[in-house]
Amino acid sequence: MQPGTIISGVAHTALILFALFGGMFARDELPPPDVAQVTVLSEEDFAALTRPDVADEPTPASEAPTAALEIPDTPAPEPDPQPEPTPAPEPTPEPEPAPAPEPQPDPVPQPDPTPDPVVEPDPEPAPPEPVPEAPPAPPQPEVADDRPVAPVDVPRPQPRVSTEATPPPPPEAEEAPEVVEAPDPEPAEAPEQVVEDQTPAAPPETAEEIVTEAERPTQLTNSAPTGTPRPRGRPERPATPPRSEGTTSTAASDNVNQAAQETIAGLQQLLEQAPQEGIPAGPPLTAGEKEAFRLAVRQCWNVDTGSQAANVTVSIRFQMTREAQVITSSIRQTGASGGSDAAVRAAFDAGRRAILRCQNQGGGYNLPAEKFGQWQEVEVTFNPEGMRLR
Amino acid sequence: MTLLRLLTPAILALSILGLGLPGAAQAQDGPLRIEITEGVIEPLPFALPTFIAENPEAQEWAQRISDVVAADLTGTGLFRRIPRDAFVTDVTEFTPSVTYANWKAINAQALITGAVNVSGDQINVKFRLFDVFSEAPLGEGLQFGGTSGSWRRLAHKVSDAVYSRITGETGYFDSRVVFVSEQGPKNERQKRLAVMDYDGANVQYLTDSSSIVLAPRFSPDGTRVLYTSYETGFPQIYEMNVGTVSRIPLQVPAESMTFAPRYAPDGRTVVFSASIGGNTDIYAVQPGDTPRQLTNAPSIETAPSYSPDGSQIVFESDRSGTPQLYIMPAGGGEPRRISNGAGRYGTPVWSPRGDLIAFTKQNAGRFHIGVMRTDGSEERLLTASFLDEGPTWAPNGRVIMFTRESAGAGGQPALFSVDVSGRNLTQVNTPNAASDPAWSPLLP
Repeated sequence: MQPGTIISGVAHTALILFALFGGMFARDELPPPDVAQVTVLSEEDFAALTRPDVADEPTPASEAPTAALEIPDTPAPEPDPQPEPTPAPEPTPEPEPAPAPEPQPDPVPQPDPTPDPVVEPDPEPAPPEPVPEAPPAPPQPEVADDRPVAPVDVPRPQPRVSTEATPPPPPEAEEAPEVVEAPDPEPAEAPEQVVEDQTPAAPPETAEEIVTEAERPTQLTNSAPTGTPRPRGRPERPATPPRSEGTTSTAASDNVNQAAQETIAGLQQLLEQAPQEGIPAGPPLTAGEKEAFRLAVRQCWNVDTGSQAANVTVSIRFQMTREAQVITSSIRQTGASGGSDAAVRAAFDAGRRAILRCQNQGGGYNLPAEKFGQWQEVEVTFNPEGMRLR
Repeated sequence: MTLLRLLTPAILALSILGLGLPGAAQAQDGPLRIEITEGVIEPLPFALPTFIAENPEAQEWAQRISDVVAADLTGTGLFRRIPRDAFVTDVTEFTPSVTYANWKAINAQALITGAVNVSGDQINVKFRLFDVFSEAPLGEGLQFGGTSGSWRRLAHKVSDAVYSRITGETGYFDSRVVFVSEQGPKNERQKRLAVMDYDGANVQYLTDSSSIVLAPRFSPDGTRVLYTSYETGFPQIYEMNVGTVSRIPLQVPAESMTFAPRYAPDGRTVVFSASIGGNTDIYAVQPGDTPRQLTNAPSIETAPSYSPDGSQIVFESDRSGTPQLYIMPAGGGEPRRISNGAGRYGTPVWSPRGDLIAFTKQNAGRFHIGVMRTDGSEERLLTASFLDEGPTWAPNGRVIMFTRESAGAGGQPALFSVDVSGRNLTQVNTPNAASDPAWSPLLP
């Protein structure tokens, strides 16, 4: 409720103000020239007298409001525009734009040039001094029509203009030097950035591509590939101490690139050596392949459900040859739970028999040879939980 | 931005690593792991070439012993003997090495070789067991010696050793069973105490048929037998020395009917039921001592059986209205009911392993032999017939022997055995009708 009330109040207030200070009064004031007072004159005189008067009045009346409205608009956001004509205000805004190329300082000087052409007509209507009142409301609608093109374009030209404007401050540079300190911090951060190298080359504000984010990635991608072919080898690093003043950032990135290249190269070597060293290679076994292997062993696992060994869960690990044949000597028990030692031994023997029996009459299990690394070593857990007598 | 630029190459490298070495990353986690929770249940095929006769006199014994060993193993239902016709080669020498490939070819998982030597009345048997697929011997070779009269025990000893090495459990082949041998029509049945090998061989009678005998029970050492006799016209408990066949009556309360005796694990204490004044309760007695009453209820308490550690007794009682199973401390005390299924439960026997209790159950007009956990859970019925009753455990707690009687006027009782898993139900061959079996411990 409150927000609505507030909005309503503001809107109404604005409407009232508009009604009070808008063209309504101006128009009302126009009629005041009360022709009634001229009734004393004769018709001819009156006619002769009235014509010129009428012609003069309408022109200023129609033009004055428009001009008055437009002028205040531009300066309105910045009360300075009026003082601008005076040299004093200008110096203060200028030092700011100089140190920081950022848009903030720029807009200040910018308004000056743009309004200039318009401002000139302003002073003329200004004398009537409806200026203070008129600026707020009426200007916006009309200016908006003009701005759609101007506002966007305006900021861009500003930096360019600002660069041109910068020369004037130098004369006042005596004060500027203090502000110029700002640029010092920039170089401190800048050294790391490689891209910045270009910026110092050209005048700061001239960069139309203020949208540097778009450019940076392209530069990085360009630098990355160029870096990959480079030789690896850290010893070179220390050898490259000659850090060029402005190229420190590029050197850092090169080092990072080199490190990444070394890592990648090492991994590639690992991949190449993997098959040779017997390290698992190839994709992991699919669920189907795994299940088939499990079923193959399962069909040979003979469970004596009435024995105490049926209470034993035993894990057996073994290795296989590339032909998927079990290496008998590698079979060993890696874990067991439940039951006496004798029961555990019996459970292990039953599991070992299952593993050895079902390898296709000694021909090996049906496992994908290209995934040898995945099944080179196997651990089978025989858990008779599902077969225990209940 | 600077940081991003510096990290970009590292990120690229890591991404390449992730894409390029998936297998290596997995392989480093360890071996391929699979878990099997279900297998198959089938007899383990074994090859048993006839034992080698090391002298001409041993020829016959070698054949006999080989056959008994094979019969012992196949009788369990856990092993299957491969016919000799399937052999690729035969064993002609008792050597520590064999050609495994020849036995793999016929899918023999175990190979048993042996040799017999006879010297006068002395028989020596030695054997070796091999795990064919592991291509290694299972344990060391063993040798047993005995007289010609005990040749079957020699064979059973070999069987027990083979069974134990493969299953991890003690065997039960070298054991005996005492039972009631029955002859004649139902209305005039003659009953005698008899003892035999576990497989029905070597039947020997301990009593004549002059009086009715019931419920014989072996002592823990297998040298004595408790049984109930109607010799005096009333049921009375006797203890018999199996070696000398001498017997003595048990010290029991005067003017009482006593029955259902059983030894405590200590071999000295005897627990039994006594009906005094029309009320049946459980008592315990030691030699030279007076019986001690363990239960005191107006209902019928009977068929007591000690737990292997002697700390508890399971018995049958109808205090709830129907015969059910209860467990109480060995010294007596408040019993707790463990049977909760429908029907009537009776003749409970504690397993030598201590994990199960076998019982007879009557439900819906049929009798069953079943087992349950000592807390009454996991009840499993192993058999079903017109009349199954009186279970007794093999020494290793793996097999249950019981009495099965066929229906009709001409129905005869017989002894059957079943694996605790419910498989391998087989009839024990006896010369006559038989009932009330009681398994002995494994003989020394």
